[in-house]
Amino acid sequence: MNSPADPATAHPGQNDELIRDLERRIETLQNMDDSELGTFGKLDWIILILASIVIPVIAVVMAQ
Amino acid sequence: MSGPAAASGGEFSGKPLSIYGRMPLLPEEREYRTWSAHGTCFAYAIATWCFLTGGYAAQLVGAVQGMVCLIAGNLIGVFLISAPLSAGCQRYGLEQIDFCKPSFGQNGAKVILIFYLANMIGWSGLILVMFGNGISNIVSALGYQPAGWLVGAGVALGIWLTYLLTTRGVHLLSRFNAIITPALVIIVLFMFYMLITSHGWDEILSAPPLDPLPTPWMNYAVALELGIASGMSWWGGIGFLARNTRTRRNAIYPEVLQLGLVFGVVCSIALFSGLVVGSDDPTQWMVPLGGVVMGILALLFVALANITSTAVSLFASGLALRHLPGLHKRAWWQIIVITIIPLLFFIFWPQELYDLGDAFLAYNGTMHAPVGGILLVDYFLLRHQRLHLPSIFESAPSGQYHFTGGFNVLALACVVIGQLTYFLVYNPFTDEAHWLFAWCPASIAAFVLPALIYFVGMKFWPGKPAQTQAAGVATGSVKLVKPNI
Repeated sequence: MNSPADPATAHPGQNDELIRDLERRIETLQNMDDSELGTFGKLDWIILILASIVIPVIAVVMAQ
Repeated sequence: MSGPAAASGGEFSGKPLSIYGRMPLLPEEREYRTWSAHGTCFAYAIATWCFLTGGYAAQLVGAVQGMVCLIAGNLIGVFLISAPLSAGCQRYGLEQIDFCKPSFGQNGAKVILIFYLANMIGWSGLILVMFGNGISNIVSALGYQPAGWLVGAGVALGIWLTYLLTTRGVHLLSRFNAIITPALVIIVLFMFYMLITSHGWDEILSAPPLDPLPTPWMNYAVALELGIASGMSWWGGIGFLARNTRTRRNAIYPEVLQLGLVFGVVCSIALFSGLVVGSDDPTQWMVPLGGVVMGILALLFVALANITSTAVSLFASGLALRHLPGLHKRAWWQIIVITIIPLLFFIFWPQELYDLGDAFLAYNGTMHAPVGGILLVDYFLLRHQRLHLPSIFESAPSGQYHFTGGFNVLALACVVIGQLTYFLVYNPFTDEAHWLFAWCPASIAAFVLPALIYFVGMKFWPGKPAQTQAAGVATGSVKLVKPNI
């Protein structure tokens, strides 16, 4: 059956391996520089706040 | 693929375990580029819940006010709720319940899980009743008199089909969605075309709301609340989407554009249909708008779409249930059966529960607004976008997010304060409202107040938890004492 398995269903050896893999992932992600995940600057925030808060609020007030 | 990533062998057909489980995703494992992130969010947005939300709004307001409430409300709700989740889940590859642990504690996050499940299961129940109504309306369109029990029987059939789809895996679900999503786009465009050509703008704009409340200002306020609360309802899907993206822009722009804007637009088309046809039941719109043949065809596709929407919800609920200790080792089909049990009520009282749908949508605001406010303040203002990842997967008390017995009492108290605030401003079950509701949606009040209290409490409370140490970790230094994966 194609289903989301759980680590707990794996045999004990696999569990140890899984925990080591988890620790490795934690180390990689914790030490990773933000810039590796692309840029996201003040301009992005301004665009998002304008489009998602300011303009909608103006529209809501005007349609009231 | 080798090692733990292939822990379940053939069950994953070559997909890494981390995609389905709670393992933090590394950038190279993440599936969504720009177009696929937009495509997935679009497929989420164009689903049958648009029809439900538009139908409920049609009870209260006309076309213009309804369109503003649905589009603007959705955008506001989606942005407020997705800003911290998309930033944090994307940065650390985290699933969203894990992302709640720095704020709520190891065990406190499981309390949030209950809110999440209530939201998912509530939506699933409403959509299944829509499936049952669809069957009843097909029978009616074919010239037969549908029996009273048919809707309940349809819900039961829907549950069984959903179970089959969910237990046979995400690949089958994806195949179904690849057919259903384009079909739904065609149906929405067809509905819009028929509305414009058969009825015209004047008729749409002048159509009165179906069942407005006696106090005029309340209708606009409740419709706006509906829009914001349905935007906040995306809380359940945002972490999954964001952790699968490679860039920070791809984590948030598709959510705001597709789940906020596109969802609002499709809800508006549903609103227009409800106003023109004079019914808030989406399955009653198809035949009057498209004629018998096209109407029945559209109803069939909408019915199928209901099943895939429900399957997606139950799939996500099943994954979330894996957080609970007693359910770690259960077989997947047993997990799905557990998620189905609350849905059985919809077989016996389909219409009664369906009629509570608008209150349920608004109630989502009481669940998601305070949690969203707390997460926003915690991630951006208190932790400055830096988490201590080892502590998220550490159940031992030495973890930084253990707090008191695994609970951050302050955060949980703030959720309760947020819920009380919501009910003080607006009670969705009785439609009683404070005068403040005319100026401030209940979801916004329930978002802002707990966030402020949480910020002040965490910043200045003498007994506050230890400050997060979130700098980098030395190579080979991460050793979990009691890993909770």
